[in-house]
Amino acid sequence: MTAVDTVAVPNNANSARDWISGARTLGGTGLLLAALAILPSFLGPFNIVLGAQILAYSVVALSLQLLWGRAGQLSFGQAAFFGMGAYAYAILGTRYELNGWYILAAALVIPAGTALILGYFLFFGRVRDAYFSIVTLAFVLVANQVVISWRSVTGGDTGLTRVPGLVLPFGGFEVDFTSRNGRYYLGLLIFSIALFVALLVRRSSFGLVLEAIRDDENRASFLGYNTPMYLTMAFTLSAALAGVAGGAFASISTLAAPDMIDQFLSIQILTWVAIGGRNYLAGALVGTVVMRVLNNQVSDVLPESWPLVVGLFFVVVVMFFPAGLVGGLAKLRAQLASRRVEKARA
Amino acid sequence: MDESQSLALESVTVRFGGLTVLDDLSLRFGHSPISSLIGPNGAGKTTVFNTFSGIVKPVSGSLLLNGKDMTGHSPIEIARAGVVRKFQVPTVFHNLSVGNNLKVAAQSPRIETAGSAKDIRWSTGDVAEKLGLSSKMKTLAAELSHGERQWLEIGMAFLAHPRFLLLDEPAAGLGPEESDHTAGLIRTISEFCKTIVIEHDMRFIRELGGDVTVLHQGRLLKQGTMEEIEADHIVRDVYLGRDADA
Repeated sequence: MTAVDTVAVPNNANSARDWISGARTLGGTGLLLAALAILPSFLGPFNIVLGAQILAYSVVALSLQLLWGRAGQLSFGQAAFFGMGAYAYAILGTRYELNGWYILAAALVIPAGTALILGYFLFFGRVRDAYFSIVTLAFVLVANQVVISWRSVTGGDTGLTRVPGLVLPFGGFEVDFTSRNGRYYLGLLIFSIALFVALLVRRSSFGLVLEAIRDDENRASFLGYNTPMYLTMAFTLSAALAGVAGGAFASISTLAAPDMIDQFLSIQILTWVAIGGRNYLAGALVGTVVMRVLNNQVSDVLPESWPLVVGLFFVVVVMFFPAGLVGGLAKLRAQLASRRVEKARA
Repeated sequence: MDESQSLALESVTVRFGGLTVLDDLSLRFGHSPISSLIGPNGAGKTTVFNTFSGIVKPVSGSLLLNGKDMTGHSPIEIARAGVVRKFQVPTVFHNLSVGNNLKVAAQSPRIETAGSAKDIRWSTGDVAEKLGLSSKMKTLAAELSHGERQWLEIGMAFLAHPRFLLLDEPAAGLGPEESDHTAGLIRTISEFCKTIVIEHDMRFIRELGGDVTVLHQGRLLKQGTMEEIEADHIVRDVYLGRDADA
C-alpha cells in the first residue's frame, strides 16, 4: 500500500511530540519532587510531621484518582484499604520483630488481595457505578466494625499506639525512617513511587483501555477487551497504593486508630480528589494539601463550626470548578492561549 | 463450499417473548467480499447481526464461523474470534481523541489466525488517512460531525482485525457526498476482510456492489446479485416497490 509511505512522516512527528510531552512531564515531576525534598528545612517540627501525613494522604488520593478518574468507578472504600494497610503495619510492627520489608509488603498485599477478591465478584457480577459505590461504602462500614470489635488484636476504640517507625534493611546497611525528618522522607518516597505508578498507568495502553471503558464499556467489550478483568485490576492496584499509604501513615503517626478506616475518611479522600481534579495527577496533591491545611487552620480558629466552613468551601469549588482546581487552571490556560492566537491572527 | 471464510446461521430461531423474530433461518456469508442485508422494517436484519455477535442467543439452531460452532459463545469471545461490529448508532469513545480511539481498537486482543486482517500491519495513521481524519488525530471524538464519527467507527472496527466486519446502517443520516465516501471506504476494507452491510438506501447498495440477501419476517427471501434481486418479482412486491424502477 502506498499509504504506508505517506503516513510515515506524521507518525514520526507524533512520536517526537509524545517524546517532548513525556520529557516535560518528567521534568515537571522532577522539579516538584525536588521542591518537596528541600521543604523540611523551611518547616517547623510540627509541620514536618503534618507534611509527612499529607504526603501519605496524597498517595491514597492518587489511588482513588486511578479508579475514579481513569476507570470511572467511584469507590467509598478507599479508607478501608488505607486502614487495612495501617492496621497490618501496626499489628505486625508492635507484635513481632519483623524485617521492615515484610511489614510493608503485608500493608500492600492484604488490601490488594482483598480488593482482588471483592473486585472479581463485583465487576464480573456486573456491579457498576452507583451500585459499586454503595457496596464499597458498606465494605468500609464492615471493616470499621471489625476493627472496633476485634479488641484483642486491633485495640478496639483506642487503636494501637507506640507503633514503631519503619526501618528498611538494604543489604549491609539499613535506612531508618523513625526520626522526624525520616518520617517526612518516608512520605515523600511512597508519594514519588505512587506518582511514578500513576504516570506509567496514564501513558500505558492499560490506562487507555480503562479510559475507553469509562467512556463506553460495551463498545470496549465488543472490541474484545475483557472489561471486568481490567476494572478488577484497576481496583486491585488502587487498593495496593491505598494500603501502602496506610502503612506509611501508621509509621509516620506511630499509631493506628479506627478513624483511619471509616466512612468519614473515605468521604474526605473523595473531597480531596474532587477539589484537586480527578482527571489531573497534580490534583491529588493539590486537593489533599488544600483540604488538609484548610482543615487544620479553620479548626484552630473555629473549634465548633469548622466543618461548616470546610463543607461550604467544598461546595463552592465544585460549583465553580467542576473539574477541580487543577482542571479549572488548565481550562483557564487553554482559554488564554486561544485568545492569544486569535489576537495574533487579528 | 469453502468453509474457511464463512459466517453462517443454521436453522436459527430467535424469539423475544411470544414474538418470533428469526424463523428457522439459514444464511451463509463469505462467498462475496461485500454482502448487503436488506429487508423491510422488522425483517430481523439487526437481530441477525446480534446473533452473529453473540448478543442474542437463539432458541434453536447454530452459529458457525468458518465451519466452527460458536453458538452460545460470549460477545467478547466472538469479537476475539474476528467478528467485529459497527452499531447502528455510532458508538465511539467520546472523551478520547480520534488517535486514541483508533489505538484502543488496534490493540484489542485477537486470536491470531491466518486469513484475518491482522496479517497486514496497519498503523492507526494509515487508517486515519483512509478515513480522511489524519488532521483530526488530536480531536476528541465528541467534537466530530456525525459522518466523521461513522467513519471513525468503521476505522476502529477495521483496526480490530476482523475476519467479518458487520456494519449496521453505515450510511444512515449521511449526505450524498459523505455516503459516497463511506461506500468507497467499505469497498477498500472489503479487500482485506469480508464485509456485511445492513442498509435501506438502494443507491448505496448498488454503489457497494457485491451480493444481496433479502430478509422478510425473519425468513430468507432471496440471496443473489443485485440484478437477480431486482429482477425477482416477489422481492419487488414486499420490499423494493417503486424504488427498483427508479
